[in-house]
Amino acid sequence: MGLQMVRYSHAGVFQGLRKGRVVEYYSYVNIFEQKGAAYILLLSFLVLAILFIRYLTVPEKKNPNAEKGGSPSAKKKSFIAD
Amino acid sequence: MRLEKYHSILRVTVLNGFLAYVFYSGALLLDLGRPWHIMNPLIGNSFGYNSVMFLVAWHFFVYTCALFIEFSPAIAEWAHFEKLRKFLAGLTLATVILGFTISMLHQSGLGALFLMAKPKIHPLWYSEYLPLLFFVSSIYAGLSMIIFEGTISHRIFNNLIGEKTHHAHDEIVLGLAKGAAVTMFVYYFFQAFILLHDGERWKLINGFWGFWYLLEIVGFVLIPCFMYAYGVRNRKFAVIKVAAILTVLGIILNRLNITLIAFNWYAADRYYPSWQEIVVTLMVVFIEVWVFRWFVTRMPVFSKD
Repeated sequence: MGLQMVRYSHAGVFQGLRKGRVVEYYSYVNIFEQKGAAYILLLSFLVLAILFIRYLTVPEKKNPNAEKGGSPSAKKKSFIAD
Repeated sequence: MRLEKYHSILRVTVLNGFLAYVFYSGALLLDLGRPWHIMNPLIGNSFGYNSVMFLVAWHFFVYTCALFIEFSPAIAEWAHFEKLRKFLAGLTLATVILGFTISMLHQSGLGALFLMAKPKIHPLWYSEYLPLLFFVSSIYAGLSMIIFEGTISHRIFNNLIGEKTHHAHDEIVLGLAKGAAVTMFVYYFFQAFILLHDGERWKLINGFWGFWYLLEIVGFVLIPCFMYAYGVRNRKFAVIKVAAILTVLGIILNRLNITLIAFNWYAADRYYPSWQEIVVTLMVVFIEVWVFRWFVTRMPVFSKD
């Protein structure tokens, strides 16, 4: 290309020398390469946060008899014991 | 949101916060001296309006006033001023909203105070996100402090607490622990992001400072976070109480690291508090406990239901 970078100008724009003339050009940054670990951490946070909140949410007892003196199976056992 | 269950701990929590702020102001006066200068930020006398300290001073003052107004119905009830109690109770909603807003700004303002000390704080503790970290950590610190203080109050002032409140205590602790666990989880990831965001920072995890940092983040944030989660899931209250103590110690360690231990960390001549300063600090804490007991045994602080 014969392009020699001179300095960073602004907002991703660089200034370079081509055949003795100062030209401006863009240089694209691979953000995945630069911030790869941060992206992986962000994604893992989103996944782990869902799992963590699900773990913290204790499932309510589905059995309506649970608060009224135990489950039907428990009652059955006590009946057998009697 | 099922917040009604927290109603029974409202007054005691507000009283705790109010006394903590009043005694913290008193301790600052003892520490700094020249108490007549305390009015300067309020009356705008020789004070930088753009300084973070000015902001913190005003937040501190307004938040203490809001806490006092929130607690004042209990004082009016104790003094049998029924009309005044109704009037003050009517102000509660406005003061709660004001207090909530101010406390958010004030906690992050305390973190912002240290933004100007970049060259002095060890890079592992300094971050441009310090206000955010202070704010998030203050949430789980408050929740853990309520669990810790509530557990002690529940045991010592058992005769002052009504039967209904007594039974609701376990559910309140579980709810607070759940909130603390989620906030600590978020805080831990904030710290991890900050560590990775600046590509060079993680290289500092070596030697004494690196391990000291890991002790704070893993030992006093991540482990208590999982202890809270385990305690909530399996209704293990002993685990939750130990997690609350570890969390409170972790917050004290974090604030000490930023203000004292990792502050001027490179200096040959370091500051260590003298035994007189430690005695004065303990005196302030014990007087606060004494005043708290005075209020609790006389005024309707705990729910009689």
